Parts: sequence; C-alpha cells; structure tokens
Amino acid sequence: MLTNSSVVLWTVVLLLVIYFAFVTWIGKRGSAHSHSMNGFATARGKVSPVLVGASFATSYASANLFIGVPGLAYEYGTSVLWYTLGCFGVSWIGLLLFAKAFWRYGKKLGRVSTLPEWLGRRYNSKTLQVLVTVLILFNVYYIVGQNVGLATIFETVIGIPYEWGIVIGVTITILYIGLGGAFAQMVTDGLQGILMAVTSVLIMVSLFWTIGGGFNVFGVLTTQLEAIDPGLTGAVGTDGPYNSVLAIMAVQFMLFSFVLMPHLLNKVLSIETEEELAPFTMSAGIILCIISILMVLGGLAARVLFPALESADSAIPVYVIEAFPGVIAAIMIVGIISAILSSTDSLYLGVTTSIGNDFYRVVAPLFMKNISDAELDQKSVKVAKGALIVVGLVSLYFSLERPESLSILIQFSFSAIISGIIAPITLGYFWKYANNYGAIASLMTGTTLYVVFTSFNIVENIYLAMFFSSLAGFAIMGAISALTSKGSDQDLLLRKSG
Amino acid sequence: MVLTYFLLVVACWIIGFVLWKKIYASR
Repeated sequence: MLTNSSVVLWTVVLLLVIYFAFVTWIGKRGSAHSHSMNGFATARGKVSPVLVGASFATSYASANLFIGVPGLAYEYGTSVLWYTLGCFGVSWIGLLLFAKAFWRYGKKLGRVSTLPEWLGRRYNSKTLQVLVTVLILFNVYYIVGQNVGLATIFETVIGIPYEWGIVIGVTITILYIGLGGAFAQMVTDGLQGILMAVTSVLIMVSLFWTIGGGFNVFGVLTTQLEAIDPGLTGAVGTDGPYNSVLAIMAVQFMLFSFVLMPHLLNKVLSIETEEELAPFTMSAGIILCIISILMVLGGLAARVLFPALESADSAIPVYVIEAFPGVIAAIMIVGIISAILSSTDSLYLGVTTSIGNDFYRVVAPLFMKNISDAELDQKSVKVAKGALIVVGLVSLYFSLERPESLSILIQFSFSAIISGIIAPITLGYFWKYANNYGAIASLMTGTTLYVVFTSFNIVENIYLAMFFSSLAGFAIMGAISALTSKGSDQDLLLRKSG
Repeated sequence: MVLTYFLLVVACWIIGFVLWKKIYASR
C-alpha cells in the first residue's frame, strides 16, 4: 500500500464511473445503428474520419505500448527505442501505403465490413473466410496481454492481488463493450486519444524533475543508465530481443505489416468516401506519433530510479505513482486504463464480429436450409454478442498464469496472425494470378511455421521467426497459385461483382 | 541515444508527410 494510494484509488474510481456513464450515454445514442451486422461491426459513415483516425491510433496503442514496451525498456535499455520508433514511423508509412489500395479494393468487392470477408470475396472462397476467422482467435492472447496490463495496474496502485485484478479487469472490459458498440467505440476513442496523449506528454515532461539536468535531461538519463549497466545504452542491445541489426530490421518488418491486423484494417473499411481517407490517415499519424513514442522514456527513467522492481512490467505504474501528485497520477492511471480499453474493445469487436459474420453466417446456412437473409443477419448479431462473454471468460482463464513479459506475449499473438495473412492480402491486391488454393496454403504455412519456430525454439528471436515464416508464406502462395491458376482469377471475380 | 531517436522520429514524419501529400492530399 502506498501512502497517497487512497486519494489515487478514489479519484480513479470516480473518473472511471464518469467515463463509463459517458460511454453509456453515447452507446444509447448509437444503439439505433447496432442491430444489423454492418452497423454493429463498423458504424460506417456515421462518424467523422478524424475520429476514425483517432480510433485507429488508440486501437493500435494498447497495454503493449503503455506498459509492456516500457517494461522491455526497463529490462533492456535504449535498444527498445527501435520498437517505438517503428510503431510510429514504419507503421504510419505502412498505413499510408496500404489504406488507399485496400479501401478501393473493398469498394470494388461491394460492401465488406471485415478482413475475413474481404479475403473471402477476393478469393471467392468461403473456406478461406472461415479459416481467417479461426486464425483471428489468436487475438485471445492479445486480449490476455491487456488483462495482464490492467491487473498489473491494480496490483501496483491499489495493492489488489494479481488474480483478482484479472477478474476485475475482464469485468470492466466486458461491461465497457456491452455498454457501447462500434458507434460508441469510435466516438469515445477520440476522447481516449486525448487522454492518452496527455498521459504520454506528462511522462516525457516529468523526466525534467525525476531525472533532472535541464535541457541535458537525456544526457543525464543516458549517463545514469550507463552507470547501472553499459549494455543499457547501446543502439543494439547486448541482451534481449533487440540484440542484432537483423533482429531490429525484422522488428521494422513486423511493425510495417502490423497495420494489416484485422481490427485495424476494419477501421479503413468504415471510411465512407475516398476524400475522407486524407483526414483519416493524417489524424491517425498525428495521434499515433504522440501516444507511441513517449511512454517508453518512462520505462528508461524507472530503471534509473527504481532498479529493483520485481516485475519489469510494473515500471510504468510505479513510476506514475512515485513521480506525480495523487490526483495527476490518478488521471494518468485512467489514461493508461483507457489505452487498454480502447484496444481491447476493438479486439473483442473484431473477434466477435468475425465469429458472427464470417463463421456463423457462412456455416449456419449449411445446416439450416430455409433460413431467410434477414433472420440470418439478426441471428449473426446475437451470436456475435454472445461470443463476447465466451471470449472474455476464455481470456480470463489464460490470464491467471502471469506471463513473464506481457509485451512478448502480445507480440506472439499478432505475429502468428500476420504470418498467415500477409501474403494473401498483399498478393491479392498486387498479383492477379493469386488464387484461393495459394491463399489457403499460405495461411496454413505461415502461421504453422511461426508457431513451430517459436514453440520449439528453432528460431530464437520472435521477430526473425515472423520474418522467415512470412517469407515462406509468400513463397508457397506464389508457387501454388502459379501451378493451379486458370487464367486470371481477379478479372473473373471483378467481372462477376462489377 | 535518446536525441538520435527523436531525430529519427522527425525523419519518419518527413517521409510520411511526403507520402501523404502524394497519395492522399493531391487535388
């Protein structure tokens, strides 16, 4: 228990109550949109593109960037800065390069609201659509990482035992999502973006009084880190996942392709007209920059100030409590909680929408022959809403055993997904002979190889494992598509839908 | 190191902004 913890605790509780009341109010205003599958999933055209950009950035920045990566910086030092640099620079450039192409193609294919649907239409394959949905279930581990983040905050700030922190975290998350839907999510993401940006900037500014040294604050920080361990201040780490130039390049490859994550690409699909892509991408870039590059400095400072923490992931919560007066610390804690909730809601929505839209809706007609379209749509929404509770409970179960590093766990989950979908998405757009046999083979190969590489320690570095399995995915897809292609699949498809 | 990091962030901004102008903002 910390001395000013009761001030912090009650301020946090009060702010969360106000926050949830606001979400409920917005959710009520938006509930008119959430009865159809399309409205539930994307709230298309109802929200300003600037807010959709904010929503992209806040969904991108999760417990990983606000707690996990500063934890890695606490552990391994300045080589971790390559990760946060890529989170803004490389990912934003990735978004700029992919967004327009992906959006235009989505328009050509008709109204698609999720990535599995996009892939299913492009390759004219229901099998692929269902397989991608199964792959998205890897996101449960991503959600587990968010639960661990919440529990770490509760443990550090209020002294709640870890297991109870997980239960409270999952309850808060489910409650939060149940109150809103996609419309509430988009609107509140704008508010969360502001809260997260304020928290990030405060962390950066606080170095002036926690580390000191005036304008030479970063020089002082580096000197003090060097005094602890010279390995903490190199551009390439001596230890940890960033210990070679090749690994750092593989990190950039991963962050470049991270924008292909289904819960992020779904945001691009919710943009209504091509003109709106400009404010969307700019707003995403500005907010992503502020909220992704600054928090990591808190992890470095924590290493200097509190070198003996039991868990590296608690670096940021401890730093916030120690460096700021009670009320400010409480606002920042709510800022970090909102960083987690804004990602978790998109992840849950992505997983449950895919279960409803891409799994149930595709598979159910095989068993119920004479179901009407309207009835199927309604049932799909019900299945999606029911899946919310199931996914929450599964993630709770997986969270009970604390992972060594929440960042590495989260990165495992999304690398597994990206390894499977990177070739089908990029080749589907750029190569007209890409077909469903190639896409299915690539999806199976990429993800399986990644899981095998990491589980059996064949490729020790998780980033290199992802790079090699993605490469294999491209090779398999190219070979199989070339062997089985009968004329251009793409032309055939566009003629059919156009 | 940290200052170099911020310089690289600025470099990414320049690249990103040029791309944004080229792809999205041309009227």
